[in-house]
Amino acid sequence: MVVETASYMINVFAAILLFFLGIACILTQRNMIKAIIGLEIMSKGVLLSFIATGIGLAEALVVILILIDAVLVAVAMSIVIAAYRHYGSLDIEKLTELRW
Amino acid sequence: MGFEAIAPFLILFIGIFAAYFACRVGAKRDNPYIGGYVTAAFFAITLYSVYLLWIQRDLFPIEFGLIEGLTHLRVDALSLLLAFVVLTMGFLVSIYSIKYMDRDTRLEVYYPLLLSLAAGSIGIGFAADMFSLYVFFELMAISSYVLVAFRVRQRETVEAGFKYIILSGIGSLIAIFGISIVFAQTGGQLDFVIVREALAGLTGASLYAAYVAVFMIIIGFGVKVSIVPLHTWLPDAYPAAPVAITAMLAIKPGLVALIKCISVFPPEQIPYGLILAIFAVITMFTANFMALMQRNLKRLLAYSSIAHAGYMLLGIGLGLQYGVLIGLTGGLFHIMTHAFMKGLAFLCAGAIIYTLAKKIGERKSADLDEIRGIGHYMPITCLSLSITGLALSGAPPLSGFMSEWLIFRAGLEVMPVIGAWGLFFASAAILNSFLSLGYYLPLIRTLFLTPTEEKKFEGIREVSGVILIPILIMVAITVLLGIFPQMGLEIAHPAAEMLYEISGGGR
Repeated sequence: MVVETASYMINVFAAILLFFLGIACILTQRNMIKAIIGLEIMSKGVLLSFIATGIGLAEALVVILILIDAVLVAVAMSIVIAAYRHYGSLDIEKLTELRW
Repeated sequence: MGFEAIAPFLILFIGIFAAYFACRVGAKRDNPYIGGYVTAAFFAITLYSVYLLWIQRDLFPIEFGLIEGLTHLRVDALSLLLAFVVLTMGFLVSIYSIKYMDRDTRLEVYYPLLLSLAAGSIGIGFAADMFSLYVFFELMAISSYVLVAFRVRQRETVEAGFKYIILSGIGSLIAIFGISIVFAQTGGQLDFVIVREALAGLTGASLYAAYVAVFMIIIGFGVKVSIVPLHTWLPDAYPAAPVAITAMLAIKPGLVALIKCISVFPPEQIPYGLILAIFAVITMFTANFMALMQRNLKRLLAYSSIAHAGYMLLGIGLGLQYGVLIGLTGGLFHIMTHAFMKGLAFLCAGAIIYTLAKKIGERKSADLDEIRGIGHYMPITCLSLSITGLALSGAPPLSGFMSEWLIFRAGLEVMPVIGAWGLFFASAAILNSFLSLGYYLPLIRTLFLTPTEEKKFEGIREVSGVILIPILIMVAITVLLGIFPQMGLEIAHPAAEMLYEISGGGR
């Protein structure tokens, strides 16, 4: 029952591309909001990887994953707001109390 | 059919709302303690419902599905091991928080999140398929993100929280990507039992896909377990969180998630156990050497908990790879003993910091030089910290010794299979036990030296009973599990046997 059609391969390739794009976004950007956008891009890669299988159940799983993402981003944003109140800036380099 | 399997979650779910309303009512009546009592009561009821599952252990696995033909929850010995540890810790921690959190506001957020953290943690053990496991994992993770960043007034807490949410978020996304590969390979099946059958005897491209999936699952959940190259969030997040939360996080439910997801792959084709064992050795050495350099009590304990994740991984990795029952037993038993030992250590540290903060003013954590000599003023707390320090470094007859001894034995048991490498793993475990004595003995000595200034700790007295009771109960558990390890092994052994059969025991 292994899913190995050509369209699956293309879609999974796109999913992996999105995933690494997200990681690159987190690693290179200095803005906190952009780091969260990077997380979101990664998660869109995961969603595409589920959808690419073309199995009916995948749609149900993807809806739940979107929900989890939304909660994650809400929490991350609240932490960014707290950081902004302390530093008055969204620059990751300004977070100097701890060593990264 | 198996409605008792969902009972703990229903009780915790009701508890979330009850704790919220109790805190609101308490705030209105100027009594901040009600929320803590209600939370502790719900933990106690949940513990009883899990005990009711435990007495039906002949019927294992107990299954529960919302839809006919699908299984969402499967109760076995491994789930109950995790559930017992999490709920006992949750009960003690919520009693501890009653007094410890009395200077914090927004308790109506704190206690419900503590309950949902516990619900997510025990759900990881109960989940019957990879996707439910991931949902519970995220419930646990998101609750812990909020709780780690709970004291938003402090700068370093916000920074640690941001670092934690980004790194841990990347980790869980990598894990779910690995799960999506499994999903494609099995044609839409994620139930652990079905996946195990579907993945047996892989060839060609499927084998490579399975390799990628294993790789991603190890990295993904490895962030939460704090395998060494992925551990960087932990030494910041643990000290930044309120110690009660740190004690809950030290249970490491992520490790159970890792074991459950990874043990579905055929070990004879993919040597994941060996990979885990090698990373475990790296983890232990790095974390222990880092801990030797720490001058801050909470950071020291945080690094020590990375090292102990290494112990668990070593026992479980060797056990899964070479079918060594004693390694699995030791690794799972160490989850239990470490949770109580490290929880106790953090609660003691929290008690010291709480008392100092009351005298000297607000502070994030205690440097070792600052707390020098405090043992003369807070004898019970510092004696408890000394006991758990000795237990964590594996001194007999305390509980840490028993589990570390089993892991050491696992290294010797694989010697017929891999020769000198078995001795290498065993000696790594022993050597790290001595390394950890290298920072726990100076810690104990520091506590009971004469203070640097004559009247520094004038007026400091032992913490109040509400903080002391959970500490004393955990001291009792730490000592009793060392003298009578059968009490813990009664759960750890069936769980290990289950994993042993899965990994095709004794190949």
